[in-house]
Amino acid sequence: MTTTSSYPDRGSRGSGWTAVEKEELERAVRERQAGFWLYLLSDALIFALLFATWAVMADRIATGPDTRSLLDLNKAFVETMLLLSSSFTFGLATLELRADRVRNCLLWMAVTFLLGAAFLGFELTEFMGLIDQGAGPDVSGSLSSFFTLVGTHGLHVTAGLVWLAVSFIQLLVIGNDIQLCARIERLGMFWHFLDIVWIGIFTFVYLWGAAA
Amino acid sequence: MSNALKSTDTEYRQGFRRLLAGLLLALALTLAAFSMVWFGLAVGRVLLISITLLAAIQMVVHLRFFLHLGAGENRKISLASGAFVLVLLVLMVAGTLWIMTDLDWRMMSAMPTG
Repeated sequence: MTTTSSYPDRGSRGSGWTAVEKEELERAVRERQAGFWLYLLSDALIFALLFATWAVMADRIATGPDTRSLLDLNKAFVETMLLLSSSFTFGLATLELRADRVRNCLLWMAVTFLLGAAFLGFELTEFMGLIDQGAGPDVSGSLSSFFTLVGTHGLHVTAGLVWLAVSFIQLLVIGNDIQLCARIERLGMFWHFLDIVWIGIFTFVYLWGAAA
Repeated sequence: MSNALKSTDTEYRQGFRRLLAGLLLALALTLAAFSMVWFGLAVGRVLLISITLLAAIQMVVHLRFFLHLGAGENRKISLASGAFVLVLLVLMVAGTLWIMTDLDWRMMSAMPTG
């Protein structure tokens, strides 16, 4: 069972956890980490099957354009860099939170949010560009599977951004509460997981597409 | 009190070092994969296999340095469930590819074009 404890007055203190608090934080993190990891694994299965679908469908272009020739490798590189650096900045945010430096944590969370939003912006521009060129998801099986795979990842990033914004406000209002700190660490796991899925996308969709 | 602060500081420094190592490794692997395609350092099968290997290594780097897989109190259940899902994943993906290419070969090779 979760041991709920709140320290409403310790938010602005920022002088580090006491030994008791630290132990409680470790327990709060440990309690739900394994369960959250199982969720991430089940999500990985969804993505694996979407990757398999893309592998099967990539050449099924019917009367539509060749999907791979429409993809922009340079844009994918910029997106990769944005997501990778956002993973790094979120790592910094969780480290600052562990060290009980709320202000620094808020700063890195904001940077992570901006990087994630920029990533999403690039992705949406690419989607709009494809649809404008007459290469929407309804044109061929190939494009359907492309939009489903990359779009599902984009939706996950969107959910992560909402969660990030909510956590930011909670941290701002409540301060560094033990349960909130553990929750933000789980959000970190989610965010790092999305970056791992993106490695698959830039490799199997963009790099393979450009290599073929 | 100063003792607690000190241990927090070391914890931060260790965490930062690990994060930075992860970032540098990930950057190197990403740049290697992209430059192989950009500069045509390899072609055909060799190229596809190389970038796939680079991606697999980078995924392990992210799991290890960013998700801290294999560390902490939950490492046993995390690794065991991860291995189990990896088996499922290989079965499902390889099975899909096998069945669909076989189906494709059986149905499309016999079909007259047009």
